Amino acid sequence: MMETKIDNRNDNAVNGAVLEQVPMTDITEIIKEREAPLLRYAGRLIRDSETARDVVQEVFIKYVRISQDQGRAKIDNIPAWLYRVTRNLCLDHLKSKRIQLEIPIDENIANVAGGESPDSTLEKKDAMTLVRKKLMELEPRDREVVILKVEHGRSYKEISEIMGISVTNVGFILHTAIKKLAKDLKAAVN
Amino acid sequence: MNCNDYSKLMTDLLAGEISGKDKAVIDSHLASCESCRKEFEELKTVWTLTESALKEDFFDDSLKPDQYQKIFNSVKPEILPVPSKKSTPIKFMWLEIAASITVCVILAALLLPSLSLSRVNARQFSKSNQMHQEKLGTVTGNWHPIVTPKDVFIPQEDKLAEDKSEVNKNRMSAKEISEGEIARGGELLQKGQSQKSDRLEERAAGKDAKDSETNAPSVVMFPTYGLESGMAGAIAPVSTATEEKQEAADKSLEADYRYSDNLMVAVAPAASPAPAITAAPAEAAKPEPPLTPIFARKSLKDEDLKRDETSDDYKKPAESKVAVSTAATPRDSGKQLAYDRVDSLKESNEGLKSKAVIGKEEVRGISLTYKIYSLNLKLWDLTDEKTAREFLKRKGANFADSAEISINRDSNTITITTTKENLEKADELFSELRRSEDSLKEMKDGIPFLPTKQKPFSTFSIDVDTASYTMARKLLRNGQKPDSFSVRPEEFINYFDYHYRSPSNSTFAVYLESAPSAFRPENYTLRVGVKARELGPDGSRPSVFTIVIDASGSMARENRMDLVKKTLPLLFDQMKPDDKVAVFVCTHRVVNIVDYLPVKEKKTIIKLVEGIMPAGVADIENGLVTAYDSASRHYVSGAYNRVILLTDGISNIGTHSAEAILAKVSFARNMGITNTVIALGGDGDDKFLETVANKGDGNYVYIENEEGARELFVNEFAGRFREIARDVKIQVEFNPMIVSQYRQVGYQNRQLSKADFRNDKVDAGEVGAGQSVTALYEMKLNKAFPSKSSDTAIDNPINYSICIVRLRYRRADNMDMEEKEFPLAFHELKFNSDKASCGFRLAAAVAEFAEFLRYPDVPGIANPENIMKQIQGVIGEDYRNDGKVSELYSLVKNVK
Repeated sequence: MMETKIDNRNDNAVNGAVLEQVPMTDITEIIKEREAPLLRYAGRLIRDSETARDVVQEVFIKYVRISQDQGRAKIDNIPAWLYRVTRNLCLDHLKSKRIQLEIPIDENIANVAGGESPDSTLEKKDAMTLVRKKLMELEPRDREVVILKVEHGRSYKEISEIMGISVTNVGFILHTAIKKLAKDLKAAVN
Repeated sequence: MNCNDYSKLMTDLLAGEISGKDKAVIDSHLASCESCRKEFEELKTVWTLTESALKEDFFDDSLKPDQYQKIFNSVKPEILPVPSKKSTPIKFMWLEIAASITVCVILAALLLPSLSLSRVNARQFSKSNQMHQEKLGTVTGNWHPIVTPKDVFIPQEDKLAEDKSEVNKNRMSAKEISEGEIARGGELLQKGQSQKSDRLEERAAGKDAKDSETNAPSVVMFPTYGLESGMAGAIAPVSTATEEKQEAADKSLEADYRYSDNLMVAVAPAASPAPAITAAPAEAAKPEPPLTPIFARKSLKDEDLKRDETSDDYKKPAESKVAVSTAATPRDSGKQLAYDRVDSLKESNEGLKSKAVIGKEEVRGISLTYKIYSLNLKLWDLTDEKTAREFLKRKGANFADSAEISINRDSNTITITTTKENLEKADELFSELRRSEDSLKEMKDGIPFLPTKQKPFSTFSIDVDTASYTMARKLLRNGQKPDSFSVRPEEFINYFDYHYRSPSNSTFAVYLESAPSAFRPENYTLRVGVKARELGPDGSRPSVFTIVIDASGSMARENRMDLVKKTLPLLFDQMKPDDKVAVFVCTHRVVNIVDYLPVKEKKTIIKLVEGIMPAGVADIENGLVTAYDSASRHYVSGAYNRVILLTDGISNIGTHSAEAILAKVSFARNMGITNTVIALGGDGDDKFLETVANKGDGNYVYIENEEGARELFVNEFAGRFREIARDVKIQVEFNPMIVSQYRQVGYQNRQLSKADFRNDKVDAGEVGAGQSVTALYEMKLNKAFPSKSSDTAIDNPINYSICIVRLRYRRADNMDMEEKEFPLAFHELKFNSDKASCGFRLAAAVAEFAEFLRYPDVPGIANPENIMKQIQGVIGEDYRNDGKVSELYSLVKNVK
């Protein structure tokens, strides 16, 4: 039985390799472990928590069906598979609404809860608002790579599977995006 | 390699995607090259900033219980984890219903004769079943013949699974997963199971109905009683020891309900030549492990619980009538059918979907059968396919010619066979018809009396809103009559002050009083008065208020934005200097003009509010969502966290669906953020605003002018903005020996099932410091009161009480649940309506007035003269100086 991994990043350790097969009885474990990040991802893509929940529910149902019908060996990286299906369902949903995949990030959300000194809080808050703004200036595709890597901690390999782009490309996109962000921020600060 | 070549490696390093060799290379370069080191530091800063910025966004982190249930439903039995050997056996059902190409969902006529037959049968079976409670059972023949499992058609796939199932069963039981280990899974599963089993139960009970259909195409069966459990199954509580006491009190009723609890149910494919649905005692199935669906009851205790959960449901008074009485009207059964069908439609869809994916079999359509004679609407003059088609078309459901619509006059059913999408549309249509008919019925007949014997419990969530009264008042002053649906009697009643004393050392005091009705002397009125403690030692708790102000063009009208600007400072005056306030202004976008400033800076805050210029449309939905997000982030534990919405109505401009907003509101409520919805102007979307307040454990108030605002912000400040208890639920248990029937006045939107009372996950209303809440019942008493019979236990207080009122709530200060019990002893009953207290008579008069406005067509409601007489009476006594009451008097006079 696979140990439950709370931090998604731990999955990077098995990057690319066929994951140890998860016993079927662990569907509850999988839901428990994956629902929050998947809801987060789906929520970002479609901006509607209700639909996001429906999507994630559907993903788990698909997972159950596939793993029963074809054997779980067919899914060699469960998190990547779950993300990919989530993404596809979200795209379907957006398409049905004739909405382009934008993955918008609101500028004004940034707020930092108390605990830090007022000055640094304000500074950090400004910086975050700026980051959010700059993130919105990236191409949607680049933004998604950043989200999957930085926010969700997926590996290049996984991102390549999820988004259907090559591994090298993932690295390249991430690199240019981060560099652009750094440059923009620097420019904005000065 | 020059510096540029290292740049990409830096990202990889940050991303943790770097090989050992490259890592050594970059490390050594960074050590030697200052500019690259600087660049790397910058990239790292950006990375962490981006990460914290992204992670700050708020998203849901869990699915809803019913969604877990759906996921579990899709799991085939062999991989379901077994919660523990002590728990209820797994109940599930094959989704392979769709094994046939066409699945027909039948909503069959519920024939009462066959219902009573089923009860007889079930009683015979029940004994033997109890002996096999823990066993999984299977299938059977018709009601009368009992067949062994061999006689039952087993679908091909199941046969394959047959061998496995024995093995699996052993494996699963041997596995002995500890409860803690799968605590969550078990919990989810249990939820799933309980809902599932409810559904099966419904089916079991509805099975006889199906038998009456001669050409029943296939599969699935339905209703009868237990509708509510199907609908609310997702939140169905697990049995607790505390429930047992109540169960004991109900034991006498058991027999009437048992029939549906001990059935074994199976679902077979449509193609089966054998009876599709069957029921029999578990004995018949004993020899072999189960193949097909299957559920068995764990214990009678559970059944009691379940039974009451379903029967004690006041919102849909009809269904338990069906279960216990042969006098049920056709309409009652029809109503259930409609509800049950929704559930089953979903299920068959799911089945279809999976089939379409896995089997690639072509699905031509599924069908729905509705019973039509049970609907009283005139629209139902459907005689043949053509009129039916035209009717549906008029209603917006235009079916392709390939859809089959047939009318069966004998069984009074309409059957539609078409694609899933179309059926969903039809489904909506029929449900809508059903809903409108339900309200029409209520408007026509008023709220029906419920038989105490079958439904001794009335459970509801507390409600302290008053908007319905203040809005009606405005209309009545202008000589208009309020719309029936906007008159909520409980909000009328709670507008007035009944002079309850505040408790000094407990959270609530409860005042019970019962006397003959002043308007219908043959009936008795029961008044349940609840009074919350005045703000006590926790008065020092800080407040964090997130205020959302609607700045749409319409707010520019009189007594709207000007009122907000003028009176909001009054609110700030009540707050403590260190309390925090944020203000969001909604126009077409949402602007945060005050970002959690302490109230001591109220000059600044007021200035900023002064600057709001109403114009254009307002995206209140977005405003609410943004405000709630922000409130969640600024949540201060132990403080009064509250979102305050000031609006003159929500014009949906569609950025967020109503459901999405309500989901957010509920979510925030669970973390401790309540709300106050303040309506201005009086022409807003009353229903939606009320729902927002409901979902958010909040208050819904309407302020008309400065005086009203002052009342809210100054006089009622503690009550409205400082909650003292949350999830406050009231349960009244009537003694069937004394009370034969009862009905509650108002609170229709607040009804809960019996089991919800002790299910602390079920949301209910909040009560603020010093607030009082009043609920009224009208009771019919038994003609002859039985003398104390020898077999009743003396220690059960219900035996010498008219009723027992139980109050359950979560204290806002320490979040502990508390439950209190208050009996109304028989000798406290007043036999003369004049003996009743002043407040009692006022409450009865206010309720009567509300019902007079709400049910203009219901016979038996007093006329305004009588109501005025009663009000005059109380003005002559305790209410001499109460402006609210004299105002009420003039309103009633105007109506006359």
